Amino acid sequence: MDVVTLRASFSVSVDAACSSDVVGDDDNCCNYGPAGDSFICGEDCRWIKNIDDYISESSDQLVVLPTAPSS
Amino acid sequence: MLPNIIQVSDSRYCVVDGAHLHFLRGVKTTAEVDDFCRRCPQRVDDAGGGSRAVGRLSLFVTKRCNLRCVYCYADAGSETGDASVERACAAIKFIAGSADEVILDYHGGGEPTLRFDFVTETFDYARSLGRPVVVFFITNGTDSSPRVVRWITENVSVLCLSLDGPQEIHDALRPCLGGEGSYQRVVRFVQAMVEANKAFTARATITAANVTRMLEIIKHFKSLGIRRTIFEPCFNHGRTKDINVRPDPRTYAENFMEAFRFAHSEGLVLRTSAFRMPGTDYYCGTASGRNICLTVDGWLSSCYEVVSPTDEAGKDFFIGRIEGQKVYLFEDRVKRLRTLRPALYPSCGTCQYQPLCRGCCPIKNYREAGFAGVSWHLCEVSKALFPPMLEYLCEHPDACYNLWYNVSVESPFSGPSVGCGEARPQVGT
Repeated sequence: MDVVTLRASFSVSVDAACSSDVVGDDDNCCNYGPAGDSFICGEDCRWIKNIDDYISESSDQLVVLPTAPSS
Repeated sequence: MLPNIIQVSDSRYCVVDGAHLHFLRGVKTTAEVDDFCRRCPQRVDDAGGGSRAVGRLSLFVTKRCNLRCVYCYADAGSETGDASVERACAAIKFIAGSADEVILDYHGGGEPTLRFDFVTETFDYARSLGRPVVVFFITNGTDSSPRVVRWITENVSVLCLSLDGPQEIHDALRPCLGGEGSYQRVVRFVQAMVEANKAFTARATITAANVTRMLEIIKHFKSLGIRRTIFEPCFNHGRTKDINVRPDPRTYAENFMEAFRFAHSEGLVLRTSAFRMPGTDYYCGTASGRNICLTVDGWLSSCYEVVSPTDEAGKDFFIGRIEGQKVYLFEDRVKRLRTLRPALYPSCGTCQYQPLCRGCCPIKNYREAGFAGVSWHLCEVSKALFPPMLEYLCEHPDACYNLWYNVSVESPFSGPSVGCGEARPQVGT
């Protein structure tokens, strides 16, 4: 038996050093990594903030409503 | 978390281990597979936690559109209305917050170039906040004026263009508002991007009308200088909610594989959301909380396809609202969306393909089968495509570079680290 492994690097690069790998990464469908849009890019690890991060930061702009308004 | 095992053929198995996909070839007994899994590190998907936080905001610019694509999910142009620059800037300020970098994603469904002042004003505002700004841009490609071309080539990092094939196909599916074809205008945009050496992805929506012509389409794209393509299976919604334009799942899979073999042989990238890098986490940012889309009407939506206040799905997918400078988030909706994980879908049962489809697109599931339901059509597309694609990747592991951007082939358990500086095959450049 032989084994071949494909490894996701998650890398959606956002800096010039990496852009040649990723420009053109498409579309409207959040293909930015297997973990629902988180990503790692080499040693300079990046991650996309999610709503929990914004809530925990409690910005002056933010109002968290426990339930959505009914209208 | 135990690795997931997928049987590809009698002697071939696929093992999903976090973000690793192992192909076991020449398997004589299932005990060999079991032994491999016992030794597998059982990695989980990395959910972030890196050193630099990126804030990402998708902006819907206008409801207006100069095309009348027969399948438009947004039914763009049926309503009027433009996004407010002030509201968008409030959202950008919030998203930028403590982020180290900002991604602005100008989205179609309404054509963004129809309000190009909005685009440039919000981009300039984001840059004024002092953080690097990365732009994703989706367009129908009908505006190839020097101003638009220059701005895109200078400022857009991730560009996606809608183009459905040769003129006969494209004009039938994507006519202008007045009924005439849009192909010639779009090709001028393609030429401008190719001449500027600007990388982009052409997105072709695959319907029942063009599903058997995928090979012809990608060959045509190659002749235009297009190196990256996505063939997206169409779904009945918006303008087609009452008619069926979906491609037959098996026909889609057969024709996608034919086109993919060509892409592999020619060093082109050909993608489909029906076959994404395996994992054990959410299908997309809709459920993970990483999609934050500002609609024209000021709602914060978790999904790119739920952007109208008249859409009934808004009661589940609208997760907040911008009022003045304030950002209101609806915590109950955010938490409910987090439950959209494939392992929790009762109808998925013990399906071996769960780590590949990862529950598939939440909104398409929702529209067809309700919250936490599963779309029959998407499921059939996936099940038709997985076996031949897995078999092909098992035979040609290097083809992964033609299917995904961010993968590497390595030895199990101890492969090379993957980083920006690593040499990769030259595909899609």
